[in-house]
Amino acid sequence: MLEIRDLNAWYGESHVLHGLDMDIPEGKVVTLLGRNGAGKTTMMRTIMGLMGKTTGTLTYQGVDLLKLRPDQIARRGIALCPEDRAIFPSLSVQENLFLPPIIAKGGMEIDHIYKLFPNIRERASSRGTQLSGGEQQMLAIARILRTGARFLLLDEPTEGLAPVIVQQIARTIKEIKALGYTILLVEQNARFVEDLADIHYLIENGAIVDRMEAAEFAANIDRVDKLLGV
Amino acid sequence: MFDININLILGQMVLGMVNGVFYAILSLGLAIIFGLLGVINFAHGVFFMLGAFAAYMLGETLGIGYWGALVLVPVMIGGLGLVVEVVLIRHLYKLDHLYGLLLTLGLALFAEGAIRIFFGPQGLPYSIPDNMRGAVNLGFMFLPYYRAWVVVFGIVLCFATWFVIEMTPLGAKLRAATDNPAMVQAFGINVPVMLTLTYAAGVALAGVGGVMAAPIMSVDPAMGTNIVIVVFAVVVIGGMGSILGSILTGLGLGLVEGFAKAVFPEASSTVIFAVMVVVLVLRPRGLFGKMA
Repeated sequence: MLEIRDLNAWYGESHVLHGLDMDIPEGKVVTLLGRNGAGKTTMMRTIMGLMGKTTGTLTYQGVDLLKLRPDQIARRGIALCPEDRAIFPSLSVQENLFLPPIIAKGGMEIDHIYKLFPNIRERASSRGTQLSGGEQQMLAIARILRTGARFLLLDEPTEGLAPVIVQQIARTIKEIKALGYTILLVEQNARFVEDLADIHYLIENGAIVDRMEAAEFAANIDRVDKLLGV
Repeated sequence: MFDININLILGQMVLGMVNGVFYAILSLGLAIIFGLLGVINFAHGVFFMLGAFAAYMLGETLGIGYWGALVLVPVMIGGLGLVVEVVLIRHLYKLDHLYGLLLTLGLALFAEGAIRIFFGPQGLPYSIPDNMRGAVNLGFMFLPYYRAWVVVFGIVLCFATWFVIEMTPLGAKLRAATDNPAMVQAFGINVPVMLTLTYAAGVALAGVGGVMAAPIMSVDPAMGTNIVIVVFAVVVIGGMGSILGSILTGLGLGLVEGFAKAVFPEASSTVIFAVMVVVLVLRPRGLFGKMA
């Protein structure tokens, strides 16, 4: 579905991604695991067209995403839930939720979203930034589910959250996966992704250093922990 | 020095509302453009002046009167703004605000000079529409119908604009793009087009103001420059980028100016700048501005 070949990206003069290769099959959950600064968020931003200088190819449904603007990429059914959640401070929770336009049929119905995240309905008229960290994360995920995008980029959705919220987000990702969404999940928490993902990629210094199927992950967890510095 | 006469004060304050409406319309457009594009649009007064000249020309060449001009001129000025944004302004978004200010200042000087060459430096007459002749007796003054119309229509226009920005999905997109344009674009919204249309809408508001001002002020090349200096003071007092602040400050300062005309006419042209100095000293972000 998404084929990444020899991908390079730069922040100004700083070369961050070094010839990255990845495949993200349709309907699968794929993780990108690595330490802080390994290039995970840059990878997400590159897929979404938010990086300045890039080379290589990012082929999605036969089209090279590197040639498109961010809005054109989103219109092809790709949605980003960023690491900082990007909740807009001048908008209410409801306005944040309804901000992204519907880009295709088949997005999650609002009642289904409220069932998944009841707090969002209760806090609809609050300012987005008045929500707790966990509620903001739920809002950031909910926001992209109603758009009809089928390929979701989730950038460290558990970062800084309480264990009970992490469990709720894990349940949500499982439910989304069961609905046939394709997910690229960036994480530093190997235990969180262990039961969620079909394929795991390990990234270090802007390059993929390992790839393993879900069945191989448990046997290699020590190696993953070492890479993550746990 | 002070000559206190309540009827005079009330009368001048009502008339001050007319100026206040122009300040509010222009500072509103400036606030919208600065909020989303980060451009300090010094050419805003020129679009106001061009609105008045466009109304004059529509009347002279096509026989289109005030009411027709009120509909057509915003479209024309908005279209001109669209071209200016695409050809000039959009190349400055990644640069410091100062570059936008310098470019629009140059644009304003060029446009004013060009109009002066074609129409001369003298003011041109523009008639009040026939159905707006006469005045209403308010008890303390006779208020011309046309000025009453300007106040009412101007306030409705300002608050309608505020409503669109603060209360509608379109406004939510504009506010979100002000906060984080890259993320809004990553949601599938064409932000460059939104910026172009916002600039066009902001200057179209100035164009409407120009049409409204044509029967009151003389239609002359300097009318934009004269008012834009005061409008920048209004924006500084209200707080850069604050929509409601621009409206309330514009209307409020019109009243203050009117009051000054009644009690101390010599100070009426400087009172707004005196308020600006006080606000800058005591509250540099402006009365309604947010902390940086």
